[in-house]
Amino acid sequence: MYGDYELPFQLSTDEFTLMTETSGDGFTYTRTVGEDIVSKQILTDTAKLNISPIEPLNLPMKLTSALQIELENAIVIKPQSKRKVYLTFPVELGVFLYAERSQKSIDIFSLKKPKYTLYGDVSTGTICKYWKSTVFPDIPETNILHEGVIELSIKNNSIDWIEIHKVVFNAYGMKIFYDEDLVAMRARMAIKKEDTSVTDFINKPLKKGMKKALELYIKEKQPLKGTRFIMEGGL
Amino acid sequence: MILDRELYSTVTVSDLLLALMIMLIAAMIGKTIALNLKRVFKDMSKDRIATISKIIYYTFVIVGVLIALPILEVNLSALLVAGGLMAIVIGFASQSIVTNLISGIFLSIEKPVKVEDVVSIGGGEGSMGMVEEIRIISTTIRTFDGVYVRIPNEKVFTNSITNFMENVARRFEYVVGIRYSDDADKALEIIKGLIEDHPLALKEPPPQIFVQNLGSSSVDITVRIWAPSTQWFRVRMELLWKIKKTLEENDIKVPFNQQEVWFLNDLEVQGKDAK
Repeated sequence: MYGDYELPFQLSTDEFTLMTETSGDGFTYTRTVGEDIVSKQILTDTAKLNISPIEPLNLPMKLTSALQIELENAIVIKPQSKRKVYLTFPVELGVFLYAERSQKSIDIFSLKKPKYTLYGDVSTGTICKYWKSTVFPDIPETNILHEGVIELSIKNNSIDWIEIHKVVFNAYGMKIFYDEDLVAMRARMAIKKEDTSVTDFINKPLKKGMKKALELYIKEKQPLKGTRFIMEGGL
Repeated sequence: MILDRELYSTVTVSDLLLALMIMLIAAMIGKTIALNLKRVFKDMSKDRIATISKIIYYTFVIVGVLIALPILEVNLSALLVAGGLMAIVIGFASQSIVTNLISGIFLSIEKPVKVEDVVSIGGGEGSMGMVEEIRIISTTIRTFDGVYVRIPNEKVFTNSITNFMENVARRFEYVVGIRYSDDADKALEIIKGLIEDHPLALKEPPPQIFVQNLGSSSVDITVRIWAPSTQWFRVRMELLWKIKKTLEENDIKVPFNQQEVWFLNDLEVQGKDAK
């Protein structure tokens, strides 16, 4: 499903249809999800199209680069220990056109409903994209068009037992990989004290042979953006 | 040769050209650095970049002028004495400009407003809008009906400022009246569902939906919702209409004002077919 396609092409699932048809000197791109139809005219004779899972922070608009995952079942971790759990995250699908070295995102859609929340307080907090996930001990089975998996390595550096109810990530650090069965990221959470931790991502696939997804939140283009998220508003 | 021709004293045409070139190069370097600053620090707020850019640009221009003036045999110490006298004269003549300038400096330090913030200055409707530019003497805002308003910085600094964008989230409230005969529990559930469905109605802080008042004509349901400050107005408009439509689809209606009138005597109705 994810990967490169030569134009023209058509891809249909139960939930959406992607289609490019030859039209004059170029192509007509049409995407249909339910009643939502997007159509664009592509003026080129040669180009490749790539469908890739992207950072889930673009829909309905680019409002924030923070993703908050609320845990359905809280995690309690003992002092000075390290554990690994698996969470899910919503997938957004990016459709890219590329020719030679340049690429352009022409469409983004998702099969999951977006929701936003506030992490921290009203004056100093951060607006975050919201997602609720169960905590899994092993890699859960997911529909790769709907959800991805985050392998979260939690390191409790404090001398207290810590209870975690939510995790916040920064899109500028996200490294998404995919294959035919899985969309995944690897993340770390370093707990400093009861209400403070730092999250970031590991630039390695969860399984061998996974392909790296295209990125929209590119750190190099935003030098002042960090790749970590410092959670100071509670865990 | 024309370049060696003396213009005044020992200053030649080539000296003049050299001085102009130094000033031009200094201005160009200043401008280039200022432009690149905008490119490199895309994430820095626009007004901060604009201020730093202006400081860098004018620093280079002043340095260029100071290097160029001795070439033109302009005595800087004499210029300073003359400048001092001029400053006193100009100071008296431009008190308000200086006040605005100092207010502008304090505004850039305190930063009660930033470019693109939605603000109300002085409380009047006329000065409510989006901040377009904060200059050293004045601040310009664009009102919601597209009018350009220039406010001297002294007025901005000394007046009360309401900044609607300073906090990341903002709450709004509706009072939805339903008939006494309607199922209030069902209405509460419907409204709760609509808020949950709206992506920009924040999950946290949670919305509040409750019966606030048993009014004379209606059961009044208060709805309080938090939304990102940048999207507040859009969410408010969208949700209000959705709540109205969905309640009506479920046969829950907003009643008209009702009043029962009792007459002490029997009514006598006159007319052709009156009974």
